[in-house]
Amino acid sequence: MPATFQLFDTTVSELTPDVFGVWETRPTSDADAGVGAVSFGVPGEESEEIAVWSVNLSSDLELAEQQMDASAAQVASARQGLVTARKRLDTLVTNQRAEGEVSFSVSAEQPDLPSADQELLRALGQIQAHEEEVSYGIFDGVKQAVSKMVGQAVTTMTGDVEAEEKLKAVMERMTASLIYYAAVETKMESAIIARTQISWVADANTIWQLGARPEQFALHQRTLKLAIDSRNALMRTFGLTAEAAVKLSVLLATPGGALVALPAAWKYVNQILTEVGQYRALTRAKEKLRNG
Amino acid sequence: MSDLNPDDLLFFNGINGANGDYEAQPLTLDALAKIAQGEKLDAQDLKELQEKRDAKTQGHYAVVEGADPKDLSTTGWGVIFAFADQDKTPAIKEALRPLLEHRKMQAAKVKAHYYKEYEGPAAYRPNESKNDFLTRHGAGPGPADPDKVPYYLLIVGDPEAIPYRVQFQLDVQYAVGRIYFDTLEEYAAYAQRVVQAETQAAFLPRRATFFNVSNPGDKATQLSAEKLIAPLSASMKGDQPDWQIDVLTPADSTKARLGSIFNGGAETPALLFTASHGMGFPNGDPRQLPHGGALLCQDWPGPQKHRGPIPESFYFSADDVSADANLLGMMAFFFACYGAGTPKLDEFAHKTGQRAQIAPHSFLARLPRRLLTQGALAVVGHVERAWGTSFIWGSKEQIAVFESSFKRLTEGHPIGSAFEYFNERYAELSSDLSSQLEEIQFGGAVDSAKLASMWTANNDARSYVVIGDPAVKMPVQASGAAPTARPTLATVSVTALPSTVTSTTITVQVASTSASTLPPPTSEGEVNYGIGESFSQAKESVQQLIRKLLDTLNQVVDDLTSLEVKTYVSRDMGGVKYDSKTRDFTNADLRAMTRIQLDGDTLNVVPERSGQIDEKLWAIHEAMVVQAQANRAEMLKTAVSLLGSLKGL
Repeated sequence: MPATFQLFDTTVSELTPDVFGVWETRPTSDADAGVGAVSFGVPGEESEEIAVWSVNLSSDLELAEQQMDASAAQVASARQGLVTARKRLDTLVTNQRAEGEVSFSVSAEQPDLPSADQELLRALGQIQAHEEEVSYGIFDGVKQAVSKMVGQAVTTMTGDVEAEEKLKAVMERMTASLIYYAAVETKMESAIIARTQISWVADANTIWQLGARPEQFALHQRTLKLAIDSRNALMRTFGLTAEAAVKLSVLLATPGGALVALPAAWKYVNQILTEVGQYRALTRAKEKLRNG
Repeated sequence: MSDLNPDDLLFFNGINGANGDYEAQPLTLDALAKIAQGEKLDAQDLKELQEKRDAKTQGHYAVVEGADPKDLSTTGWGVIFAFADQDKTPAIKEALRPLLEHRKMQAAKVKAHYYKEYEGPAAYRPNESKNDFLTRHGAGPGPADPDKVPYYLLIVGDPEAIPYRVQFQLDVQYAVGRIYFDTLEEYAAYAQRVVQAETQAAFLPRRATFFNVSNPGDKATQLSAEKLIAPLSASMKGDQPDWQIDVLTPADSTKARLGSIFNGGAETPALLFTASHGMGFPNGDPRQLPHGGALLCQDWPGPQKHRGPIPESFYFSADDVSADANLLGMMAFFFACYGAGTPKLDEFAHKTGQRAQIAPHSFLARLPRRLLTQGALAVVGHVERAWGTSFIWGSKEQIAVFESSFKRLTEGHPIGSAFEYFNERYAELSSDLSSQLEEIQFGGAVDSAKLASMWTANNDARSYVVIGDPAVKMPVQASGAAPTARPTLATVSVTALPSTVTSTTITVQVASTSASTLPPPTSEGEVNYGIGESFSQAKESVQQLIRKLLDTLNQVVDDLTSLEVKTYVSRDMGGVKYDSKTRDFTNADLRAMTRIQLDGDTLNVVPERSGQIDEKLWAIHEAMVVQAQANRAEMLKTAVSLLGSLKGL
């Protein structure tokens, strides 16, 4: 059977793709409805759990190990992706600054720029233009302001509503994960073998199915590590985003530039993580082919 | 107490508005003593109460030595929001901004950390005990230490979000008040009017009024008139000769007269004291939320002459406060059942431990809240039923706590500090009650009279609360000063409220029937989505999230005291539940536990099997400990790295 790696999260309201490509993030209500079959907890009862990381593996131990290996590699790839993203960003900022007068145009001059970089520059260009527009608005009087209101009811920082909303959702999730306990459970063929309640500072209460074998115990330890590594990777991703926003803000002649660049930086970092993940998957597939 | 016998009756100050009966029939001492024996006191709370009692006998006050309760720069001031209200908190904070800035200026004058805002991760968390809250913020038992947690604490939230019991226990060592309103305009009104009252020359004449209800054939109010109001007003006259003390006769203590007192005119005093029944209603009665705790006046002809539901014409509720009443600077004390609020569950737990539900949810009485929005600075009142034991000990009046509190208040103490005497009484009674119950548990004889009186007096003293900022003082003029007019109430400005709030009504808890002086809530359609504003709103909301995340990270890192790993086993994983309150599995066997303190001290509980160490399980447990240590190290590294990155923003 194929393994499932699911994260039931009270802070999400719909199925959310995970940037690391490991965890299928679902609203907790899915678990109540039986989609994920969370093993513990009374439906409707208030709980301090914000998230349940649930892994369902094959009962074939060797296959289960392989399934865990594959997911661990994906999280490791995300960490590698962060290194790549940092390098790419530094190069981009250095090149932009080297041009003297900062230009966010990517039309003709830099056709060979990677798509994530191109998109980022476009977003920065929009922010710059937006800020100018807003500044002029102050002097243009009521008439122009009204026409803008009618023409564009809701304007976000970058104009990219999706990136901004995702960023905010991630920030909420991270904050909640620092406050509440999470649960991590390992199942084999849907039969639970162990579950750990873990706080952000690593206090852990673990319950084992009586008679569980040492190999199963080792698998649960790996599940626990995978969940924690994933959470840490999310935090590091956000940390890199914050650093990226600060670096990008030097290119923007706007007050509070780092803040307004945050959604664009978030999108940029995630695009690179996806690129790196895809590249790694491709490499692994090639190796598999080569090895027959 | 020896002059009481077990068949004597004790009286509550509450009338059931739905049927006109007493809210609870008077109980015999014997019956109460039995209820008292079912009482379980929390060990930690009891320890603190005993410390408070001991501190009192050694002449200590609630705040650390050297702090002057009249000077916020030495005592500190803080505001506590509920984590459960986190979505509303930014808007409420904005509405309270003038008050928060005013208090910050006073409390943080010398030491910045003497002003605290407990919000976000620092907020009161659901189901947290008072001790958990204080421990999380670095404070232990003993006098309030403003270096850790300020002495004056304003709770912002309803008693569902921050329970009454937390307020009661916090009040033992701290000066605590609470506000909760239905709309942002009301928060803004209170904040702006407190600042208005405190930032101009004192303007109120030294005048106190005693509203003195004594309903015919009603033992409870006859007692309060005779043994509370009469001696208290006399004592105040003697103690404060430069105060005008007006004691209304029972015949004058009517609803109409109370209307005149509350209309902001010539009859409105600086300090109002009322003793009457408070209105109670059955759980779910339509009048319970709007009129619970309303003051039953002399208009009620008493239990013999009136049968059936109590009409509104007999009692004074929030609906009766005039829309243009100017109560700026006034303070009030309501001795009445439910005068400050009603808990969801009956506080009078019976021997079985069952507590009946008496309201759909815990709520703050509407009358004091209404007075606060009209300029009153604070109201002291009772949560749940009030008892005669508040002022009678044995068969004699015992009003020293009232006298001392009013003396302090009239001499310029903030209200939270002035009413410390009630907390000291609670501490003393709780400690004595606990000793008495322990005696009985180990075979001591039950003295019904003594036990019942101690228990009711204990509940009484515990349940007095301040509604309003505990740091407000009465703005009374110096003795002999020429009378000045009460300043006009400042128009409430709500322009500073964040436009992200689409409706200014936060929750509709009370079905109000009163006309409000405040502007109607802005409709959703009126929210301005102008370009510039939405842009800055977006920036602001991201900034708020970052601030919240930063605070949480800092808090989590600060909270690290130990690492705990537990290992359980179960035959039937399907039957296992996790109790998030105790943080333990139920229906499972705890087999091993390790706790490692920050200083390296380690406690191990090792599993046994047939008298031998269960090596296999212990190995698994040890592996989990090693993994937990590695996890913590990695998590901390991540936190520190993230903190560094966020600080750049």
